[in-house]
Amino acid sequence: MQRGKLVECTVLLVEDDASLRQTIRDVLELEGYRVLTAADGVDGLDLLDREEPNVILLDLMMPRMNGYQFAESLAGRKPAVAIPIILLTADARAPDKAQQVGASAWLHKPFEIDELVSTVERACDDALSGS
Amino acid sequence: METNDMRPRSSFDTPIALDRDVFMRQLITSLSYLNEGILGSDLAGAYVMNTGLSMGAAIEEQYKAFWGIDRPFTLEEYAHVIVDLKQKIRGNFSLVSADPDKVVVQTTSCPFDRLVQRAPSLCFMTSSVFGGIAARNFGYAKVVLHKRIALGDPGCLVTVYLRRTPEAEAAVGKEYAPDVEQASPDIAAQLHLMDRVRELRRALVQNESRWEEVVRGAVEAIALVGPDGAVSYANPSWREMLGVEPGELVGGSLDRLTTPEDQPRLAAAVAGALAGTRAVGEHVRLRHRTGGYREVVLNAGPIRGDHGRLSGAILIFHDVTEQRQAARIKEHLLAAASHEMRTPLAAIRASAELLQRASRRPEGIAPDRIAQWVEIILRETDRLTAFGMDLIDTARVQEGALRLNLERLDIRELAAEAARQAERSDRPNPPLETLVPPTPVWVNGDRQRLQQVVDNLLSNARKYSPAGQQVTLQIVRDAGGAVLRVRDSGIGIPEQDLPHLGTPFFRGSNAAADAYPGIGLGLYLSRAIVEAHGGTLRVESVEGAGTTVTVVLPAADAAG
Repeated sequence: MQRGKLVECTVLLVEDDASLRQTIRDVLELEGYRVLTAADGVDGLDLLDREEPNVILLDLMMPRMNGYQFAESLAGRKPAVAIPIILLTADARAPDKAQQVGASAWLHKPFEIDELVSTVERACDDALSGS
Repeated sequence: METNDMRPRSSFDTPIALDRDVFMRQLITSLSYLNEGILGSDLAGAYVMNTGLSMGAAIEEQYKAFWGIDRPFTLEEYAHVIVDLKQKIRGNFSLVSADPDKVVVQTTSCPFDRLVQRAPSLCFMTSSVFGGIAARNFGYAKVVLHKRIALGDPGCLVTVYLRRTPEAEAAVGKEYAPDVEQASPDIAAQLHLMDRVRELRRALVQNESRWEEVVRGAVEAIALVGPDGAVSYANPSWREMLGVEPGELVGGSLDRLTTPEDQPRLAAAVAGALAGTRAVGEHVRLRHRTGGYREVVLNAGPIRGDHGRLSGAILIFHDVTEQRQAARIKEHLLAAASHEMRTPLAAIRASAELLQRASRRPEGIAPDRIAQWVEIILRETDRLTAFGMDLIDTARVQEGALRLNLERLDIRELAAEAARQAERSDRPNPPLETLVPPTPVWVNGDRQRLQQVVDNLLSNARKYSPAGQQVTLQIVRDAGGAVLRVRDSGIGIPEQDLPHLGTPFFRGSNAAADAYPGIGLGLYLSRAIVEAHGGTLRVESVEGAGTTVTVVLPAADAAG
């Protein structure tokens, strides 16, 4: 089902690994989402200046500016950025990490496509319904 | 089973060779002491024990051997024995007269007043020596004691009848049969006992010293504690393990050597051992004099004294710090490896699922997408394979088992290969500049491993550098050897981290542990490979400005 098509949801994917970045983008685009990609926190912030994604998919381990630093930067912006964050992590302590960066959901690598899609869908619903 | 045979039993097998004169003196000294019930010299006792002879027979044998005769004594010889004995023992007797019928000896300290009513066998010299020897050599002996008549003369006269004359028959005394050993039962028993005591004492000392050697020489730190839990003995290994003098531990408790967390378990193990229960494999930390801690395994057991009564405990501490560290590194390796593998696995899984969906509903999927997903699976699989090999290499390095295939190699070729790979790569790399001399730079090296080092150093340089900033790979030949240098202008390494580089999993303090990719094996392996070549790897860095890694390898000869 291509939920994304009903009301277009834009996802900002911040992930340094090229292969994973491509596959996640392909999955989401096939589901009808619009996907913006950044290879690290710096590029991610740049994109935020120019675009307005509805959901952020955030990796932690990145060079130049990692996921923690990115989230901190977001939190410091004025006006406040209220975009829901989905954390992508290889760490078993995903819930703790999610809390640390203010994420509302997390995905533990490796994940199934269904998991990825349904998590993004939920986040999109929340974002677009204004809750 | 009780036996009336009181002859001394032999317990030593080795015959004793020594100066006869010395021996005789010792033998006789023993005899003189036997009068008072004091047991004499070891050698004499040993001789008697060994031969099963009485003292008198032993003396007789010695004299005969010394004189080289094996027939009965003549009267002169018998008399001479008595005179000689007196001289050797500085004895309290002297020969008065000797004739074929009897020999008369006068003694000055024989406690006659006690003996006058008793059998002459209580006076050992008289019985065994005078009587026994006479009986064996003359076929007859009767020993009679008289108190001296003259007032003021202590002692007694001893008459040894050598022939059964009427006078002999009429006299009151003790008759000796020639074929019976006349050792006094009391003395034989005492000699036997003395011998046993000696033997046991020697065995005990030997045993104790053997066990003491075992405890002293043990690698483990061993402590004995008394029932109150205080240390009564500590072996020398405490010095090696904790830098503590064994003497300092005596009288105190071992509690103060451990951490507050471990104290209850240590105390429980000691208390348990004192109560009779063994504790095996208790892990505790003990503080080294220099402040650090050693991880040890404790085995504690009870010590039992007389009748199995609990009299203390023995504590054996085995230092396992290095093993624990190695185990921790392995655990960390596994955890980090598992973590590291997850991103490639996520890409592979997602790609595979996409291909699966595409195979079910191929419409709407561009063919080049299919090719890309397949490419991702292949690429990430290769990456995981390489990573797996790095893990194995790390394990090999840890165990000192890294093998090299050496060949004569111009290291400029390593730079050329690195440049080729950089061009081929489709990732947004910073440009790679290579600087090489015009002439070959030869080393004896493992091409594959050294390329691995170059790849790793370049990868680190790129990873920790801002995109677009140049990385330089330089090769020179100088007095120190063949030099390979990688320079970047990236985030650099803080000064406090520099000494720790090359430790497995170390990642600098300015790269938050979760934030930078890689588990820090690269530099560790590179250094191990370089050092296996007999070379050195040095890192210089300024935080925020960049890093230079210099590898120096022993140069190979120009010839060839």
